Amino acid sequence: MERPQESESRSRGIPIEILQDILVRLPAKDVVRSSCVSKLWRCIAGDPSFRKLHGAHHAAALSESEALLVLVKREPGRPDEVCVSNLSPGNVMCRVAIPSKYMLMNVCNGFLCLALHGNDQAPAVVCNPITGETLELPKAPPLVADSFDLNGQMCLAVNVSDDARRELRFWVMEPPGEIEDKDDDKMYWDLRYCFDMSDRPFYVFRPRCVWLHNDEMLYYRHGEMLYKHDTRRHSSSSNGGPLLFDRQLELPAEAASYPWNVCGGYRPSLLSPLTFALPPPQVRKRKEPPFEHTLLRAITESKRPIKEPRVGH
Amino acid sequence: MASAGSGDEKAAAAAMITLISSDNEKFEVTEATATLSQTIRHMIEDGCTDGGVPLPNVTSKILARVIEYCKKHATAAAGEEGSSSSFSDAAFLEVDRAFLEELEEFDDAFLEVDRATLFDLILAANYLDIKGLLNLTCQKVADSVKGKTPEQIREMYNIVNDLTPEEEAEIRRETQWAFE
Repeated sequence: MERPQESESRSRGIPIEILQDILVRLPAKDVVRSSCVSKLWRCIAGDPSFRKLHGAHHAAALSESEALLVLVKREPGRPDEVCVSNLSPGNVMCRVAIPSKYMLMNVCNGFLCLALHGNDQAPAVVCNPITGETLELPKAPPLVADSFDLNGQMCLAVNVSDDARRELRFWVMEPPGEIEDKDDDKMYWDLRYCFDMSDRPFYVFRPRCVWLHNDEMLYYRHGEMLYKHDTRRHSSSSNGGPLLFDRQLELPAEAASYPWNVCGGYRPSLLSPLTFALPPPQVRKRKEPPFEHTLLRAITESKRPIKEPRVGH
Repeated sequence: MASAGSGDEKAAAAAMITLISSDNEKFEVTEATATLSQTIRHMIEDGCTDGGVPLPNVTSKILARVIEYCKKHATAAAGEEGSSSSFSDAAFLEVDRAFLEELEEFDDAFLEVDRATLFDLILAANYLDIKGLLNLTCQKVADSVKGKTPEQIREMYNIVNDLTPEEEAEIRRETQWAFE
């Protein structure tokens, strides 16, 4: 009662659909943060249909991408757990239980894809780290190694080695329309960076990952080595020979004992992975009649062929 | 009326509509201006605008602003129709661009209001079903909320925090990553 009457009636008078219309315009991170404002705001931010609307609203706009640290924890007697952290504020986003031995395969916009390496039949798990929801998809798609998102473009990191040299090349796929002086509308692979790796050790089976931090720093992790390159200083390697990484960073010794990976190209989204779920009707179609019915029919039908021959005799 | 020719239609386009605010002030506007509101458009189609359109949810102060917006955007819409039906030439595109820039400047200046007025404009735009105005005002609020903390948002818009301290602590724990 002490509050001014006018503002009370005003805040009560804002229809919920207008508040939705306002919140749907905010980036996912702002929506998540604003769920602390009041019960009504929390209610809207958590509503599945609002999340779907938010996902559709922001699907067209390619927002800035972020890098995620994805760490898999395996402890005896407990289910495997994936711990997802956002590198920009350096905070843990969620911890989600995953099937045993699963690894992060890729990040696409707001979703992580986890799968069992080397097994095409095992289901893939899609996870939204904001909502913590997961969905199992029937079959993992064929896995492409060492592809990553570079500013919204697909990039391939390729190791080239022969007797004379050992290089790491980053090829970026340029979508049609971006390059004006090329004639047709094919996709082009552009050699964006080329690094001299001749004095660096190379192990085929060590985990590798590449990501771009704050659209500036290119990181390349190979086993327990982490290399860093400032992309603002050398924009392209086309004007000279191969580049050298600016720095090699030390990783803590424990890094070797956990499977971990960093993925760029994550764009926060409120869309639930459950929207990809297959519709359930097939289950209903194939539904077996209760066993007692089957058994009853089997028994009653089995009487006839036995009876008939007797009647015939 | 059913057999009205094109002459009558032209006359109808220039017809005036009277809008009556909640505090009984009367505003004369052209039909082109009034029909930016879907609510009023439907009333006109149903033929129930004789003797004025009472708008019990909108005060004269807000209605005057809404009409200001509709007048500007009605001429913009008319201009668009005119240019698309006539030859489209570089000069015309130039004029269009200048006009769009002017419209953008108008919208920016139009939104220079206090938060209470902004909310009243949103409510009026919603009630009168004026898409452009609703879009403009909602975007303004969204922009003002972007990057703010929950405390700042509550303070800006006089929102009472009805979450219990335990509930708030739990939400904060779950959403820690979204806070810098």
